[in-house]
Formats: sequence, structure tokens, C-alpha cells
Amino acid sequence: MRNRFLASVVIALAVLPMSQYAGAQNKKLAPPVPRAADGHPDLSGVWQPGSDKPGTWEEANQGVGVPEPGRGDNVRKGANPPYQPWAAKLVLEAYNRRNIDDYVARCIPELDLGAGSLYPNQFVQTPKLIVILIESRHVFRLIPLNEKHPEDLDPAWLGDSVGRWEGDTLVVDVAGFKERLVGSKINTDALHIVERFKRVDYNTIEYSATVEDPKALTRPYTITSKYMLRPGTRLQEYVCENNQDPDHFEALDKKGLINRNDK
Amino acid sequence: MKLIIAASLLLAASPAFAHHSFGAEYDGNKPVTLTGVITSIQWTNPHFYFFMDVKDQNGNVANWKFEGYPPVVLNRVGWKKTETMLPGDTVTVFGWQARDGTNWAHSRFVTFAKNGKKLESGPPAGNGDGGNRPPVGAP
Repeated sequence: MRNRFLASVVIALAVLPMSQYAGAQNKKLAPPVPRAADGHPDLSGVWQPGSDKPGTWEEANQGVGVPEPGRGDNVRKGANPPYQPWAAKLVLEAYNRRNIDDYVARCIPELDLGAGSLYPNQFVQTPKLIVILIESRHVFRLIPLNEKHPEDLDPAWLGDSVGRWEGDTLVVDVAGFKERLVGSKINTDALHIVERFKRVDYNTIEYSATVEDPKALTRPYTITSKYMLRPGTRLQEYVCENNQDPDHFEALDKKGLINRNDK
Repeated sequence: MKLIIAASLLLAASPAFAHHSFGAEYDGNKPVTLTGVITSIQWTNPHFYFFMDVKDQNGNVANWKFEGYPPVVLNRVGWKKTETMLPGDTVTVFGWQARDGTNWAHSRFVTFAKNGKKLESGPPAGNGDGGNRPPVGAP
């Protein structure tokens, strides 16, 4: 009996400091949302889009690039554009060409809208400008704050972005896109996107993008996703210098292996 | 029809986000597991490629080409350019063959004879045949 009592005391003494330690660790792991000198939440850092797991890149992804389809929940939701019939027809045509004509297959960049979890993004925040560096295809976004789009917008693959703070949420208005009328994603020059980035805790940015394109969609739709902080990750160079896919597509097409006829 | 749309929507949630559609080039119904000796490696974007001599039962050697992740992704899943895969290494590759049946495949995992390590080398097959049928007709 006495031995059992002693054992209980020993276990209690052993566990108590551990639980205190764990509490301290949790606090250490999740400090408050950092603020910039101007009082706004500081979004600076390297982030992984489309994830909801905290930790380093390795911890969060467990050495795996992307999960197998159907394994686990997808963090990014809502990316089902309600196309008008003419645009839906083009998307079906692209599908019948196995999407080989997608711009992305020729390494032309697009706004990932909370996707692209294989590649980190780095946010650099200043009071007047936020820069997002995107490893995939080695592109950047410049988001001047409290400014208007230029009057004579030159259409761009990533559009033109301007931002503003609404409370603790960074709101980014994107317009001036090039048309994409071939491939699995269709948009006209009327494409207009409003993105919202809110750092809800130390590790997490909650993201949403409301997409409208009155010439190609029947109504606006909204994509939601998350960005997770990835301490220690550095962006590297990713430039498409050896894209062999278009030649491979062409070879398969000549053999009659690309086209299908789904209606 | 409703069922088809629902299935399409589910498939559309596939998290591949790859640079191009897997199924245009490769056949998810043609998995291959091959063992051979590495002859060369191209550490390039948007994909890395490696080439491997594979000997058949009669002793004939065929050189296979494999596609995989870009170097930036390989680096994050544990590859080191100067030591992980070198010409002369014996490896076993799991992947999917090109749709025209040539000696060209998409690699998913590589297992190295020199240390027994199995590393991810490319993304999953996804839907397997060239993109998800778009949810055409959805409101």
C-alpha cells in the first residue's frame, strides 16, 4: 500500500513539471498574431497554400508532396465555376482534348487562388505595398495599398492587384486579366476577383476569393482556403527551361491518343 | 445525370494542382514497377527526368525515361542532388507508363538499393485519364 502511495507521488511529481512544460511549449508554439509598426496584422513570412497543418514544411507534409486523391479533407473548397453554356462547352472541348491546351501546361502563370500546395509563397509587407513571391513559375504579385487600378490597364496573366485593410483583413481587388478562351479554365476580360487574407492566428491565414465574370459565369462564386506559416522554408528557383510536355502531347495526338468524344 | 455531376464534383476536388494533366500523357491503368541502373538525370523544370537501363528476362537492355517532380519539390521531400540518385545506382521505380506504351513513364516512388530508402519522386496519378470531366450543366 505504502509502495503504491509512493509510486503515485513519484508519478505525480514526474507528470506535473511535464504538463507545465507542455503548457509553456504550446504558448511558445502559438504566440499572438504579430503586428506591423502601423498596427495592421503582419503577414510577412513563408506560407504554404491549401494546407491546415501547422509546423515546418516537413512536419506538416510528412515528407509527402501532395496527398493521394481522396485521402484527407481538401482545405481548398468551392472552385466549381458556374459557367454560362458557351464557356461550359469550351471547357468540355478542352476536357475532350485531355486539357493538353491548358495555358499552365505551357508554364504560363495564373492566380492560384489558395491552391498550389506543392510550392511556398513568401509575403513581404510594407505600409504601402505588399509583395507575394510565388515559387511556382517564379512569379511575383505587387499589391499597392490604397491605390486605384491604372486607368489604361494592360491585360496580364495575373491581373492587376490593389489592396486595402478592412480592419484586420487585407482585401485585394484584382482586375485587368488576359482572356483565356482555351483550356479547363475559361475567363474573359471581365474577370474580377476580390481576395481576402486574414491572419486568424500565428500560424494561419484564412483566405477567400470571390470570382465574378459576367461574360462567362452565370453568377459569382467563392473559393476558400488557408495559408499555413512554414518557418525555415526558403523559396527556390522554378523556371520552365525544359518543358517537354507539349512535344509529348503532340506525339500522342499524332497517334490518335488524345481526342475523345464525351458529350 | 445527377449522379454523374455529383461524381464529377467530387473528382474535381482532386488536389493534384500539377503543372499539366497527368492522364494526357500517362495511363493510370498501366502501373509499372521496374528495377534497373540509372544512366542519367536531368535536374530541370517543370519536371526532372531520369533514365534507367532495364534488363529483361532474355538479357536485352532497354533504356527507360521517367518524369517526376521539379527539383524544388524533390528537395523538400528529402532528395539531395549530390547523393540521392547518381548514375550507376540500382533502383526500383513505381509509376505509370505513357499511354502509347513506349518506354516512358511517370514516376511516383523510387527505392534505392544502396540504402533501402524509398522516396517520393512524383505526384499521384490523380484521375488517371486526362482530367476530370467538367461539371458542365451544374448551376
